[in-house]
Amino acid sequence: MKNASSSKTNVLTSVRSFKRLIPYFIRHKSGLIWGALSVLATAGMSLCGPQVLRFAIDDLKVSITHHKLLLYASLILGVALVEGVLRYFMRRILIGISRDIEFDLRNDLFSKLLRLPRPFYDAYPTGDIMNRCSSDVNSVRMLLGPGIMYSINTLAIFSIGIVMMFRIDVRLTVLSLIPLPLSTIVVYFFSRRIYSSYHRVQEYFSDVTTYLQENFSGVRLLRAYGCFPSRRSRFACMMDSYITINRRLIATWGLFYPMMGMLGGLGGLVVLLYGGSLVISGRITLGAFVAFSIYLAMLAWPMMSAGWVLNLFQRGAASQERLNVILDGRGVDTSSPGVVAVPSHPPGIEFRNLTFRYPGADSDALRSVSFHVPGGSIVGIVGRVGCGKSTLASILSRIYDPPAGSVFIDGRDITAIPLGDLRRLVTVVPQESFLFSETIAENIGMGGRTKDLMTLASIAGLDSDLRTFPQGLETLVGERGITLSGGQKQRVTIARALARGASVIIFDDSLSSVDVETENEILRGIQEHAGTHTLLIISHRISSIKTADLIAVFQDGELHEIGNHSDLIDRNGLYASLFHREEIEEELARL
Amino acid sequence: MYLSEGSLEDEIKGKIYDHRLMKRLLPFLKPYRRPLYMALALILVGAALELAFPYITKIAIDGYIAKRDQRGLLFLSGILFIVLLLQLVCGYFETWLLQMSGQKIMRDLRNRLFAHVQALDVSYYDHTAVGKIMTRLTSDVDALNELFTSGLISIAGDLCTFFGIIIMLLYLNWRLALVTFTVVPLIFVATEIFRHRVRLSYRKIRAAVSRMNTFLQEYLTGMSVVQLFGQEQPSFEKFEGINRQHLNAFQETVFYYSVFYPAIELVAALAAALILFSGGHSVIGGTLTLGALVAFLQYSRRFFSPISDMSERFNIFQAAMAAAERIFVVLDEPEEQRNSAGVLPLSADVITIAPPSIEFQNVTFFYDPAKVVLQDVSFRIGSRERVALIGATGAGKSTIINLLLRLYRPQSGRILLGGRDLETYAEADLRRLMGLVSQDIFLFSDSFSENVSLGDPEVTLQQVEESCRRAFIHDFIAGFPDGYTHRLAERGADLSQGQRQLISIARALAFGRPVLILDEATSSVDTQTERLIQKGLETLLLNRTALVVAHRLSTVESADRIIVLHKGRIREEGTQDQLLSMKGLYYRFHMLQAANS
Repeated sequence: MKNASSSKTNVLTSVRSFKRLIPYFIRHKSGLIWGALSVLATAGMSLCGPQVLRFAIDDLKVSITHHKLLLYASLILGVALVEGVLRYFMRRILIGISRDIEFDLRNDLFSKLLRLPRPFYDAYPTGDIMNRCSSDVNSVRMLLGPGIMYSINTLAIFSIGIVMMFRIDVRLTVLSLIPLPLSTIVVYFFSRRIYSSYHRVQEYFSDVTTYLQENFSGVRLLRAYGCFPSRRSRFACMMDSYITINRRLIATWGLFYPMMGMLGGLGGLVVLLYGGSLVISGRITLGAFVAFSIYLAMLAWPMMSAGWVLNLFQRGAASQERLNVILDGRGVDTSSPGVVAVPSHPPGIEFRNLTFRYPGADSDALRSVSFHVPGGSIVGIVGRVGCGKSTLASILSRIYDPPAGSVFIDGRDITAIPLGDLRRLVTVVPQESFLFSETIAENIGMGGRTKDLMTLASIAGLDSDLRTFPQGLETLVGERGITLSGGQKQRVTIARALARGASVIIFDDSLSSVDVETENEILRGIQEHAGTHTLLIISHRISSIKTADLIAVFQDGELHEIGNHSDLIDRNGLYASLFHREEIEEELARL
Repeated sequence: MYLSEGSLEDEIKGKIYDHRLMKRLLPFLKPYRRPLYMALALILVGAALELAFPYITKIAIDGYIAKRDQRGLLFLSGILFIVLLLQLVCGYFETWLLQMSGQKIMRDLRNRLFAHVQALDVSYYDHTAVGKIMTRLTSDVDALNELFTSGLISIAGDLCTFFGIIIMLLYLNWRLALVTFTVVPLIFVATEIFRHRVRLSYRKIRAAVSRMNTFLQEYLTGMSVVQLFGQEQPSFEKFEGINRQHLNAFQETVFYYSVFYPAIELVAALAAALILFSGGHSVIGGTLTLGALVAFLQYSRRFFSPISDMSERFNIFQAAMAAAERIFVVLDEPEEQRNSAGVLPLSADVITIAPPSIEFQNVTFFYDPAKVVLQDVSFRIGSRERVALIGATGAGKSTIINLLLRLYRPQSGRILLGGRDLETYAEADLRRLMGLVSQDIFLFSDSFSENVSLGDPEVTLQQVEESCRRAFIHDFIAGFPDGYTHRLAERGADLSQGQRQLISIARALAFGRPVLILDEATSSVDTQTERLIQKGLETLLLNRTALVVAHRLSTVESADRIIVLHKGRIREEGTQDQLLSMKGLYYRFHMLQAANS
C-alpha cells in the first residue's frame, strides 16, 4: 500500500532522494566509466553484424568467390566473438558494481540501525524494517544495475542504429519506426499495471495466509464452537475473490507479450511492403533490405526495455526514499569516551520529582517520583501490571531519556553522562529474556567478560542445567541448537548482566519463569554482590524482594509506599494486601 | 524445523514424472478439460504461426521482389498482417484460458485441502507444525499450478515449434538443414552446464539470503540488548561477514550470466556463419534461392529458445512432483473417524428443557501408556450446577476439558452429556451444546464482530452487540470510529489482557450454549477490569451447567461444589463446607486464606 502511494511522488523529490547514492557512485567511478564504455562498444559491435550480412547477400546476388564467402563467414564469427567479450565485460562490470553498492548500502543501513534509539523501533515494526533492508534495497539495486546498463544500451543502440538505418533509406526508417515509440508506452503502462496488480494479488494472498494460519492455530476454539462449516464457506469465498483479483493480472499479462509481438511485427510489415518495393524499384539492394529488417528487430528490444527501465527508476526512487528514512534517522552516539569511569564504590541513585511520558502516549507513565537508593543497597520495586515499575529500568539505562534534572547517579545527572559510559555503569536484565542464536558462552560473554564464565553461570543458577547440555557453555542456543526453557533463558540473561561488570544492576522482573527454590538460590547468589553493587530488583512477586533493604511500592505511576518488609506489613496498605494475596494463590497452586 | 524443511525443498531430486501422482492429479484437471484443450489447440496454432514469418520473407524475396510484382507484395503484406492479428488473438486467449483454469484448479485444491485439514483429529495439530500445513496450502499448490500452466501444456508448444522448425529447414534444403543442426548439441551442452552451475549457486544464494534474514530478524528484535550491552561494533562485524557471503554468492551468478548470454549469442553466430558459408555455395551452385537462405538465417535464430526453455520445464516438473507427493500425504491423513451407526438424533428437549448434566464415569486417559494423565476419574455436574476444578499445574485439568470437548477420547470409561454417551452425538449437535472460554484467548485479525461471532452466520449482529454490552466491552468497541467493524491487529495484539478476556466472555455469551467450560485466565489485570470480568462471568455462568477451572479465590468460592484434582486423580470433592470438615488439602488452603484476611 505504502509503496503504491509513494511511487506517485513527483519527479523532483525522487531525484532528490537519489542524492544519497552519489557517494556510492563516486566510490565506484572508474568501474562505472569502464562499464559504460563496454556498453557503448557492445552496441557498436552488435550493429556491425548486419552490415556484413548485407554485403554478403548483395555479393551473392551477383557472384562471389569461395574466398570472399569464407571471409564473410569468418567476419560474422569474428564480430560475434568481439561482441561477446565486450558483452561479458558490460554485464560483469555494471551488474557487479550494482551488487557491490548493494553490499555497501546494506552495511550502512545496518550500521545506522545499530545506532537508532528505541523510539525509532517503537514507530517501525521489525517486519517493516526487514522489508526495507531486503526488497527496497533490491529495487534500488535493480535500478543501479540493469537500470543503468539498459538505459545506456538503449541510447547507444538507438542512436547508432538509426544512423545505420538512415543510411539505407530515410523514409523507410521513419515509416518502420512509427510503432516503436508506441511499444515504449505500451511497456511502460503495462508493466506498471502488472506491478500494481501483482501487488494487489500478493496483498490479498497474505490475507489468505493469515486467515489460514489463524484457523489452524485456533483449531481448538473453532472446533469447540462448531464453526467449521461457516469457516469453510468463508475460505471458499476468499478463494473466489482471489481468482477475481487475479483476473486483472492475467488479462494484462495475457495481452502484454502478444501486443509486443504485434507492434514489432508491424514494423516488419512496413519493411516488407515499402522496403520490398524499394528493392523492386532498385533504390536499395536486397542485402540492404535484409540488413534493415535485422536492425529493426535489434531496435525493438531497447525500445521495449525503455518502458521497463522507466518503471525501475520510479520504483527505485520510492524505495530509496524509504531507505532514507533509516539512513537519515538521528543515530545516537553510543561511544564510551570514559568521561565517567566505573567507580570503585557502588553508586547511589536519586530520583528527583521524576515525571515521564512515553513518546506519543497520552498519559504519564511515572508521576513525580522521588526517592533515594543508597549505594550498595538492594532495593525491591513492586506493583501491579502497568504501574510503571518497568519504566524505571528503561529510564535508568536510558533506553528512553528522562527529563534532565530528574535522575542522578552519584549526584550526576544521567542525561549528562555519555551513553556508552552510562551503559558500562548500569546494566539491565530485561523482562523479555532475549538470546541470540549463538553459543551460551557467546551470549553470556556479550556482557564483556570472557573469562570465568562458569562462575557467573553458577551464580545465575545455570550450572546444573549446563551439565545436561551436550556441549556445556559451548552449546548453541535457538533454532540450530537447543531450545531453552523460559527459566533457563532468564538465568542466561542474568549471567550476561553479571558479566558486564557494571556497578548498578537492574533485574526487570527477570525471575518470573523460574520456580521459587531456584529463585531463592539465585537471589542468594546475587545478594553476595550487595555492598559492592547497587541492585534494583523489579518484580511482580513479593517473595523475590521480601528481604530487600528498601521496597518501593508503585501504583498508577506513583510511588505509593516505601520502606522495608516489616514496616510495610505493619502499615497494612497496598503492599500488605499484595503479599497476602500472593500467599493464598501460591497455596492454591501447590494443592 | 525451518532448516529441515528448507533443505528438503532444496534437494528436489525426485522424479521428473510420476505416473501414480499424475493419475491422482488428473481428477482436479477434469472439470476444466475444455478450456485446457482449447488452450492446447491455441498453442499449437500459435507455434505454427510463429513459423510463418521467415517463410513469408522467403516468398517475398524469391517470388515477388525477384519478379518485381508490387501487387503481390501488397497481397503478401496482407497475409502477414492477418498472421500478426491471429498471433495476438491466440496469444491472449491461450494465456487467459490457461491461467484462469490454473487459478480454478488451485482454488479447488485449496478448498479440498482446507476442508480436509480442518476435519482432522486435533491430535494431528499436536504433532504437525502450523507452518508446515501452511506450506502445503500455499507454495506446494503454487508449484502444481506451475506444472499445469507452464509445464504440461507449454511443453507441447515448445515441442511443436522445435519440430516445426526442423521440418521447415529440411523442406527448404535438407543438406543445409543438416549443417545447421550440428550446432544444436553445442546449445544443449552450454545450457546444461549453465543450468547446473546456476542451480548450485542459487542454492548458495538461498542459504545466504535466509541467513541474512534470520540474522536481521534476530538483531532487530534484540536491538535493545545489543545497545544496552554496547555490542554495536561486534554485531556490525558479524553482519558484514554475512553480507559479504551474500555478495559473493550473487557475484558468482553474475559471472555465470555474463558468460552464458554471450556464449549463446556466439553459438547463434556460428550457426549464421555456417549457413552463410555452406548456403552461399549452394546459392552459387543454384541449389538454394537467396530467399531460402535468408529464411534459414531467420529460422535458425528461433531454434534456440525452445531448447533452453525445455530444460527449464524439467525443473518445474520436478518441483511439482515433490509438491504433489507432500500434498497427497496430507490428503491421505485419515479424517476423524466417527461411528455414524451409533449417532442418535438430538431431541429438542435436551436444549430447551434444561441445560444438560455432565458425568465422567471411571475415565482413564493417557497420551503415553507409561504416563497416565487421568486415572479412573468420576464426577457428576448436575443441570445448572457450577463446579470449580482446582489443582496444581499438570494435575490433569486441561485434559478433562479436552475430553469433555471430545477433542480426545478416553482410553477407558465413559463421558455422559445429558445422560447420553458423548460418542452418540453428531458433531454439529455436540457443538450446539457447549461453549468455551479458554485461558489463552485466541483472537483473529478480523473485525470485533467477527471475533465475537467467529463468522457463524447464526450469530446475528444484534446478538453480538448485546453480548458485548453484557460483557462490558461494548463501550470500548463503540469508542472506535468504525465500531464493530474495526479490524484487530494480528492475533489482537493491540488489546490489553483484560479486553481480550472480556471479548472471550462476550463470545461465549453470543453463542449462548447451555453447557459452559471456563478455563480461567491467570494473567493479572488492573482492579477495575478485574471487577468487570467477574461481573461478566457471573452473567455468563447464570443458569448454565458449568465446569470452571479456577485460578482465583473468588471463583472457587462462588462455585456450588469444588473438585480437587491431584496427579490425575480426584482427591477431594464436595461443597465448600464439606471440604472444610474433611480437613484435607482444601482445608489447609482455606485456613491460610482466613488467617490472612
